[in-house]
Amino acid sequence: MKKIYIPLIVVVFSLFSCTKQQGPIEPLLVISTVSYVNDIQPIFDENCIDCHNINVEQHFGDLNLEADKSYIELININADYDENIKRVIPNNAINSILWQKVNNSNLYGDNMPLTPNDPLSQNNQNLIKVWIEEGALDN
Amino acid sequence: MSIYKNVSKLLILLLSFASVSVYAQEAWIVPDAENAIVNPIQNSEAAIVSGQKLYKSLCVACHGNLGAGDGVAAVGLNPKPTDFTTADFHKQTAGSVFWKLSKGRGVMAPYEGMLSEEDRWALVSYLKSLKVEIPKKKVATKKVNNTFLFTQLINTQTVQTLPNKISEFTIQHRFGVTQLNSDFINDFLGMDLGANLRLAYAKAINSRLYAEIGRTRYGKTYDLGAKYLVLQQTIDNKTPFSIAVYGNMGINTQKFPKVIDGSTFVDGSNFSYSFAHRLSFNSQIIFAKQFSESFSMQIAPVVIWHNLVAKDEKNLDFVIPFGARLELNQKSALLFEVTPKIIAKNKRMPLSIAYEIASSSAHAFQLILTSTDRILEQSIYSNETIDYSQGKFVLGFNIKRLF
Ligand code: HEC
Ligand code: HEC
Repeated sequence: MKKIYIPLIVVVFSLFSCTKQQGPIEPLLVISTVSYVNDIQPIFDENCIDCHNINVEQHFGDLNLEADKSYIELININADYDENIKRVIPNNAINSILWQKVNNSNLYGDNMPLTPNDPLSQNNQNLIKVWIEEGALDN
Repeated sequence: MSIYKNVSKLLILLLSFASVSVYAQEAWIVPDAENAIVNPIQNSEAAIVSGQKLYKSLCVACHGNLGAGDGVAAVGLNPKPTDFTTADFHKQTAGSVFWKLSKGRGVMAPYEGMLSEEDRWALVSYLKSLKVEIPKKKVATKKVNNTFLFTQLINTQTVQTLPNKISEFTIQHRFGVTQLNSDFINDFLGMDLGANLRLAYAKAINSRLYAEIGRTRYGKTYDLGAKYLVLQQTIDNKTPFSIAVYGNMGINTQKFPKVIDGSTFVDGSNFSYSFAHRLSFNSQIIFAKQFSESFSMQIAPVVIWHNLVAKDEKNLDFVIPFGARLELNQKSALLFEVTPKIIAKNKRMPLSIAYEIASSSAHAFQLILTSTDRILEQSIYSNETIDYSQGKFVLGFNIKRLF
């Protein structure tokens, strides 16, 4: 009969720990010079490499976004999705499939990351865009 | 003696694990010569007492304390251990009982090699001494016990609780999202892709209430839940359906994502993560009805609450899953689930069908075709359902065991 307290505790515990919150809303950062190593790769590391890694990339657009591979697999490489589109064209975010996929444009297949409920934050999207517009440097 | 008892119980459990095939309950025909043999030790008081001792240590697990065929190990057995308190059982001769006990059938072991002839006759004396229980007049109020077999259908909860003292172990596995195109074979039906997994253990507190704990891979989520059977359908349909209430709390234990300084909640206050943000809740009332031995349906309004959601989402979701189970034969059943979303960000309805292969009512394997790679209801209903109109789907399986 003592075990009847387990669900009871759960119920009581949950009543005390209910909150109703939405967020976070990040303040928009002013982005000046973007570094591939310090700003862009960490975004890939946190959001993309579960799918885009050497072991399973063949199922995910043949794209590996791990640290030592990502840059060469992106710049001026034809997209797996459509041979006529480049993954990244330096100085031209609009025509780069990378930017179109992370900004949820729905233009070229699935948006990225492939988890519809958490898109990249506005700041991370901006970082990728500015990085491409600044010449997509390996800096 | 008690060690012996436990070991024999364990053996019986193992035996029932191994007995994958289902025996049909056919007449058990005893050779005439055996039928005619009379009990050489007569039903002496001493024989009954020693028979009772043997019974308590060897037979109780299946045939039950009072011989009614309702022992703890009887749960998954088919055919059920014989009820020794029926008139039918007592109609037969002692010789027939002796022969059946000696030869065995299915999970009922042949005791010929294990017990001396004298011990077997003592057991027969004891069984013969058991009283015939006149079936109660009140059969009319008999309850419907197995509306569904397990506490969950495919992804949703059922009205089912667990028999007293019984535990349930569940493994739910979903492969990655896949599609019928050239990748399908390449992905090996989605098995190469990311997979989700939930392990759960539920334990009956009594026959109406159980508590459970689970762990899901996505979100490294632990969950605690409990279900209570409020109302139970009766066979005469005076109570036409069953009602249960269920609550579950999910605790996401994944590292919180990084947020930059100066971030706020939607209400403008400073943003910072706290433990409460890890929690999500699932409360529901389940209405279920067994229409026939082989067909049951249920509907269950579900309220989902997330303590923290992204900026353009709502904390509360309201959905009404509908489920059905159609038994095809003793070994297999079709399961079906569809969940209209009433209040939710994305309204596409989760759909699942499953083919259940049950080696007994205590052990089942379910092959699943579904439109979500989530398992915990909190995440199924609050996340976007996979777009099946584009031919995308998820395969998976559940394994369930009562013990
Ligand atoms: C859950 C798995 C998953 C995650 C996480 C994921 N992707 Fe993808 N990605 C895919 C799949 C599947 C495809 C191929 C489908 C398509 O192209 O529509 C793909 C394709 C792509 C492509 C197109 C490649 C090409 O050549 O066609 C790009 C660019 C891309 N992803 C970028 C990203 C970025 C950037 C992230 C992290 C912000 C990310 N992905 C996270 C699954 C994922
Ligand atoms: C593993 C569970 C199990 C155990 C332990 C067990 N039985 Fe049984 N018993 C059964 C089952 C199941 C049947 C029904 C078999 C059938 O009809 O095919 C049965 C049938 C019988 C029958 C035949 C009854 C009839 O009229 O058809 C007798 C007699 C019997 N058991 C006696 C015993 C005795 C005595 C013991 C202890 C020494 C014992 N059983 C232990 C499961 C068990």
